[in-house]
Amino acid sequence: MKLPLIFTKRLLTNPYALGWGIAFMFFWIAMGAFIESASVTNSSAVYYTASWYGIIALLATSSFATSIAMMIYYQSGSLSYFTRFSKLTPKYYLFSLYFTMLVTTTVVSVIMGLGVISLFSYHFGETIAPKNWGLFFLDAILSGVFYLPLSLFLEELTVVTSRKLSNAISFIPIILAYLFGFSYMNINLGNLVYYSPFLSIQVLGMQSFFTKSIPLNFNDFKGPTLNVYYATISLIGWSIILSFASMLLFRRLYYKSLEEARIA
Amino acid sequence: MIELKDVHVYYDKEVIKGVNMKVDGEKVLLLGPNGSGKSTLLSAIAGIIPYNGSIRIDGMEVRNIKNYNAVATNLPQAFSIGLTIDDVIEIYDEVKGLKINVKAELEKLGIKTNKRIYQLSAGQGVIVRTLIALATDPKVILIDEPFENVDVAKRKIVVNWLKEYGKEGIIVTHEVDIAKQFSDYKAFIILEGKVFGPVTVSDLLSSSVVMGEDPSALLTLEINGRKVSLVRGDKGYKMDAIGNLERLYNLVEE
Repeated sequence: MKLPLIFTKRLLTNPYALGWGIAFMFFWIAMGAFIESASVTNSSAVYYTASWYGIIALLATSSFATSIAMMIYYQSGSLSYFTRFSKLTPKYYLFSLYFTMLVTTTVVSVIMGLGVISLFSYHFGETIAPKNWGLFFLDAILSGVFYLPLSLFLEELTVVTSRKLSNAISFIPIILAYLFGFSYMNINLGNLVYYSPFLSIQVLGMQSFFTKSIPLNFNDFKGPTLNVYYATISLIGWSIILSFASMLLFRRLYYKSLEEARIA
Repeated sequence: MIELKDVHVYYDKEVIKGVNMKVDGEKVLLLGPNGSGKSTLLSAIAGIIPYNGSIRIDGMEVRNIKNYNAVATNLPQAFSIGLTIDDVIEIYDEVKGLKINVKAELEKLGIKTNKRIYQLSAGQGVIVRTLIALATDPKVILIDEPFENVDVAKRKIVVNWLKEYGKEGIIVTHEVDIAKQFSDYKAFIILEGKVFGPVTVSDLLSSSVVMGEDPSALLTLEINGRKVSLVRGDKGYKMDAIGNLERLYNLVEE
């Protein structure tokens, strides 16, 4: 169990991950609680807070996913050697990464949750907290389980094809998170919510603040409501597909010079 | 046993050109100038980069080997799994098993193990990687330039490690002078991606370099398309005075 503990320690003490994944998220939480909330009435405070938590959960874990992708970026050179000439198996390496991501997303979701609850409750003058803590933590775990194989798959793809793509590809998780996250709040995306794992993470995070189902489309209160099972199954399905894809590529890894990623 | 048959490695162009080589139950030196393909060949044997042809270690094809914990290398790529020396030691202990207290040994040499790998000087990096690799008590060693940037006093320590650990394997260097420390070993020479040999190190160092193909040659090399022979006696340039193998190219051009 040394490998997962070392990876976890490294990720949770990585100043860049902490900066982008926690400090920068607190900037967004403060924006939501004190700046963007100017026209929000107390009757819609819970829905408004939940929507901010949904997007914060999505963005924070995507930042850590990008950090994990960067870890893999540097380690991929060792893997072709270790899987041949040590006891390290792809299963154990992947287990170590999943362990790291699960611990990290749980810690981050607690910090983000406390941040949202405290600042939004302070602003609206009432306690606003998740009603379904099980779903709250399930969402955090599922987001980690989705983001990790996504990052791993993308990183493996750059090693197998061309390192030149690394700089752009490592940021795909965070770019898609911002794209889907803010689109959901402004565009009627319909059933795409179930097909996009990013949106599923976001809406499950929102749903954890309610006992009744939230609207499927952010601004359409009379339309269809969210089916939690569909969103959960979609997220699990994406995670399984990406996990298999990353495992298939894992054994094809060979060292490629990090210098190949240089673009200038 | 390490057996290479018609091994080719390509980057943008072919860098290893049909190498055939066999190491059976002994440690050998692989000598070659900078850019000759020494580290590339070692990387292919260590399974770090892809190759064409066949590389077998103890009868198993390297590209298909899984979890055969008998081979150790000090190539830098095999150490990128950890951030600090302590991390690497912990990870190596778990996945390969360390038989000696690496941390204590490094501290004796004045190297603090809480340092990040990239913060080490070039010489310290070589020492750390070589010691960790050998501390796994491997059967087969694949050691790349173990004396590069290492100061004279510590070179003797490294020589002792290399003689003590590993039952068979390949030690790569471009320094002919250091080969004197391994006079009873066999040596292969790699030039422009082609491997020549073996010849014993003592014969190699006592030989002379003459242009052309000599029928009594211990070994005939090919440099820039020209044949060069290593012969006994003093009739050409003395090999032990050459210092490093880059000089062979100067001799050919003269």
